[in-house]
Amino acid sequence: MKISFKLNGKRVIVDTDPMKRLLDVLREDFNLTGTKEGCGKGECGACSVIVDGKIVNSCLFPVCQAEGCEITTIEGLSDGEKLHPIQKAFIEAGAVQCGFCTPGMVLATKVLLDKKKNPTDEEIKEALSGNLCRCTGYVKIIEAVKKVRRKK
Amino acid sequence: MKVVGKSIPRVDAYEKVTGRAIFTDDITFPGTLYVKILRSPHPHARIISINTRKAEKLSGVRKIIKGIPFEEMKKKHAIFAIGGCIIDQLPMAANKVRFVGEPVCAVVADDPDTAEEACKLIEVKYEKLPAVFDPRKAMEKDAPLVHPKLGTYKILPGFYPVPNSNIYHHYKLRKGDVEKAFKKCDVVIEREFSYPHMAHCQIEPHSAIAIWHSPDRVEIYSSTQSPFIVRDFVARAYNLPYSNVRVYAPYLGGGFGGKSDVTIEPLLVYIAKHIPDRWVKLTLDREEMFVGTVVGRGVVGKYKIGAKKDGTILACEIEYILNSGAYGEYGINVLCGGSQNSTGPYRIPNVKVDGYAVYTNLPYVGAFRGYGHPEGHFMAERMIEILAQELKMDPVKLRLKNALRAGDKNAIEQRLTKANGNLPLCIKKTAQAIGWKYNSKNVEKVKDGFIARDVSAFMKSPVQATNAHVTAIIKFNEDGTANLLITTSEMGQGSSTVYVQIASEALQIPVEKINFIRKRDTEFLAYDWQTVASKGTYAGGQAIIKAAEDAIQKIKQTASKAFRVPLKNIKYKEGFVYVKGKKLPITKFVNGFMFPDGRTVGGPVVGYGIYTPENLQIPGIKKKGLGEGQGNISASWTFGAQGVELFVNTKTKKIKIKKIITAIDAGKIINPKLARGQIVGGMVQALGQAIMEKIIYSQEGVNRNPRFTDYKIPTLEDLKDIDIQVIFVESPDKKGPFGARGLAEHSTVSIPACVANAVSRALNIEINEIPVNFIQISRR
Repeated sequence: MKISFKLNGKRVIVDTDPMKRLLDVLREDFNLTGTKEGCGKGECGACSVIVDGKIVNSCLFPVCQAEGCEITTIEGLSDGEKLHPIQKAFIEAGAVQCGFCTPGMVLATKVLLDKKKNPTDEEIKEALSGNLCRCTGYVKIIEAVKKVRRKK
Repeated sequence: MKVVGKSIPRVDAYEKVTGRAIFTDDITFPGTLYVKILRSPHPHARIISINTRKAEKLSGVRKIIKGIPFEEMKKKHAIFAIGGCIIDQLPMAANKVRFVGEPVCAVVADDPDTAEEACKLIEVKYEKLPAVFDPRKAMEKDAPLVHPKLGTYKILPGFYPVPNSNIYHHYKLRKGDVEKAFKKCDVVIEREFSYPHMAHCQIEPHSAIAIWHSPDRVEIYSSTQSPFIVRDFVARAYNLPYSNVRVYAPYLGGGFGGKSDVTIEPLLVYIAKHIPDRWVKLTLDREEMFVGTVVGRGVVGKYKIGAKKDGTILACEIEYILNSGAYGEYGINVLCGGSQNSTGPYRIPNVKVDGYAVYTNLPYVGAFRGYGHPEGHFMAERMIEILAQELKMDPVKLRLKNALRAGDKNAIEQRLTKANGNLPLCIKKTAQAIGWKYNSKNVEKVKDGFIARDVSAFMKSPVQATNAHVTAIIKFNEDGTANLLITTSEMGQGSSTVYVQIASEALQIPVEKINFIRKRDTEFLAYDWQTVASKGTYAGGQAIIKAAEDAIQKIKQTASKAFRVPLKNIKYKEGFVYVKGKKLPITKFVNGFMFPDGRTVGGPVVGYGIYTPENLQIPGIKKKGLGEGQGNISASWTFGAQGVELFVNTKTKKIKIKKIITAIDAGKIINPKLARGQIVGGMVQALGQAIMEKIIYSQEGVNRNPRFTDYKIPTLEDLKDIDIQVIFVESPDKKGPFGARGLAEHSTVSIPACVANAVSRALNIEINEIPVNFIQISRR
C-alpha cells in the first residue's frame, strides 16, 4: 500500500505493509536511525517522534495512520548546520550520557515547549515522564529544559 | 591546570543530540539475515527432541540451528564451551536447559518477523527435572544439581568449586581470630539479609551483528563493554587465531555491567558459523532483556558483628551467598568483589567471610553497577545501624569511630594512606548536608507519618583481573593535531571526554587539537581489558599520560638529532620546542624534521602508553604470611558517604524520598559536570533499587515482571521535589591521572542501606530486605 506523508519537511511516499510500525519504516525505509527502539511496547519513549505536533511512540504507530500527517524525527530538528536551541541546551546542561533516550527526550521537550512557552517544573516532569532514562537520573535533563524555557 | 578540573562539554554530545551517533542496532549490511531465539519455558529439563519441520517450510526461513552437546562439539566441531574463570556454559543449550529463557534453538530468516513466526512452529519435547531457586536450599545436601559435572569443569586456580554440590566457588577471607574476638565483645548481634535479582534496564537492548567468513575469520559488531573479552572468549571457544576475530563496539546505550564480559556474542557466532559468509543480526527484545541475558544482585547473607561498649568494632563474621543462577562465569568474580568488601569501609581487626557462589535454576547473575558492593554494604551498614542502637550510640559517631583511615589496614591487609582518600571527612560532610542531629534519633513526627534521615558510608575498589591492561596511543598528525586511540567503550560514562582532557593536559595542547577516535575496534586498536569497574579514568588516564610523555620524548629526540644538542638541553612546553634559544612549533617535528635542503631526520610521532595493575594478586590464591583471601587484590579504593532524608507515611506505608546526598573522595575531579552526572545517575538507579525494583519469579522460576510497566524503574514522576546533592572531597591519588580515582559506580552502593536504616528507625522496625516498599513495611 502506498502511504504519503510529510517527513522532516519533505513530502514522501512509501510503498509498504500498512501495518508496518512507523518506527521500522523510519529506520529501514528512510534510514533515519536516530529514532531508537527501547521496548517495542510504548513504555520507554526512546522511539518518540512528532506526528502533527503530538509526541507519539512510533513503535505503536502503524504507518498507515501516517497518511497525510506531518512527521518530525530527531534528524529533522536541526537544519543540518545549526542545532535547535533544545539540542544546544541538552549539550550545555550535560543532559546527555549514553544518548539512547536523547532523541526521544529532545522531541518530547519540543512538543512541550511548542504548546507551552513557559511550563512549570511540574509540567516539565509530567511531559517527559513517558521517556525513560537509566543514566542521568533526569536532573540535568530538567535543567536543559529549563534553560530553553528561560531563553524563550 | 588548564583543562583538568573544567567541565568541558562531552565530545560525543553533538552526535547524540542530532541522532547521528551509531549504536549497534543501527548497523546493517547488504543481505543481513535476522535471528530469533527460541527459549526454554522450563527451569530445568532434559531436551528430548526438537522438531523443526514446520518451521523450515515457512517462506523466508534460511536456517534453523540447534545446540550441540558438549562431547559431540569437542569431537566434531572443535567447539568448546564458554567461560574464562569457570567453563560451564554452551553457546546454546544441548540435552538440558537450566533456566527459563535459556536459548534452545535459533531461526535465521530474511526478516525478524519471519524468524519469530518460525520459532512458534518449532516443537520441543522436554522431560522436566526437579529445579531449585533458593540459594540456601541449593546448598543443601539433597538439592537437585544444576551442574552434576561441576567437578570436571575447567576452572582457574584460586577458585574453589565443591564437586557434587551447587557451590561452584567458595571464597574465604580470614583475618585475625573471630572466635576469640567475639568473646571479648560487650555486644554481639547477628542478622540475616536478602537482596533480590534485579535488571539493568539499559534503554538500548543487547544487539550484535556478526559474520563468519569462511573458513575461519569472524567479525562482530556488538553493544559490548568488553570488545577484547569478547574476542578472547570467541577465539577460544571456536578455536580461532585471535588475529582472525574482529570485535567492534559502537556507542552503547547504557551498560551498567550488563554488557560486560560476554553476553549474546558467543551465541551469535555459533549461529553465524552455521550460515557462513552472511551477516546475521540479533537484537534482543525488551522481554529478552529481562529473561535472556545477565541479571544483577541476588544475595542472601548472614552477618554477625561484635563491639566493645565504647563502640570499637572487634570482629565480624559474614556469610555471603550469591544466587548466581544457572551459569557461573559472570558471577564468580561478583561473588569475590561483593563478599571481600562486605565488611564495609571499617577497621575491623578480626574478619571471617565465607562467600558462596551457588547455582540455581534462574537466569545467571553478572556484573551490575557496584559489582557486589551494594549487596555487601546493605548488610554492613544495616548492622552498624543496629549495633548503634544496641550500644545506645549515635550511628554516625559509631561510623566515624571505626571508619578506615590513613595508616589502617583493611580486611585484605592493604595499608591505607592519605592518597586513598578521607572517609571521615566524607561522613562528616554528608551528615552536615543532610541535617544530621548528633545524639538524636533523627526522626520527626509530622502529619501522616515521620521524616527520618540516615548517613551510611561506602568503599569500592575496581575489582579487576591482575592483567587488566589498558593501552593508549597518541598519533600526531602533520599539522600538530593528535589522534587519541583507546578501546574503552563509551556507554555514557563520559570517558571519551575525560580522556581528551587528560591528553590535552599531558600534551599541553588545546582540547580542540585532540581528535578522540570513536572506533573501538580490536583489529586496529591495542589491548584494553574491558570497560568496567569504574577504572576508565584511573587506568586509561594513566595510559594516556604515559603515551603523551612518550610522544613528547619522541618530539624531543627528533629535535635533538636535528639541532645536534643533547636531549636534556631541549625543553617542551605547550606545543613548542625550545632548542638553542629558539622557540619552534611542534609541527616542525611531529613528522620528522626537514632541513632547508630537504634532508629529513626523525619520523612520524606516535606515543604509546600502557597502564598495568602493579603486583595485583588473585584473591583465592594463598599468599605467604597472609590469611586466606587476603593480599594485594585491589589496585585502588574510593571512599565516600551517602545520606537520605525521607518521609514515610504511616497510613499508606509509602516512602517519599526528600533528599539524597553523596560525598565522595574520588581524588582530583577531571570534569566536574560529567562526574556529577555519573554520581546523580547512580544515586537515582540506587533509589530505584532501594524502593521499587525486584525481579519476581513464579514458583516455576518464570520471570513475572519482564517489562517496564511491571518492573518499574524511576521516571521523572518519581523524582518530584527531591533535593539531590553531590559533594566532592578531592584528596589526590598517588597513581591516578592528575590525582584522580574512579567514581562511576560508587553512588549506587549505600543508598539502599540509607533508605532501610531511615525507615527502620522511623517505624521502630527492622527492614533487612530490599526493596524497602509498603509490602516490606506492612509485613512487620
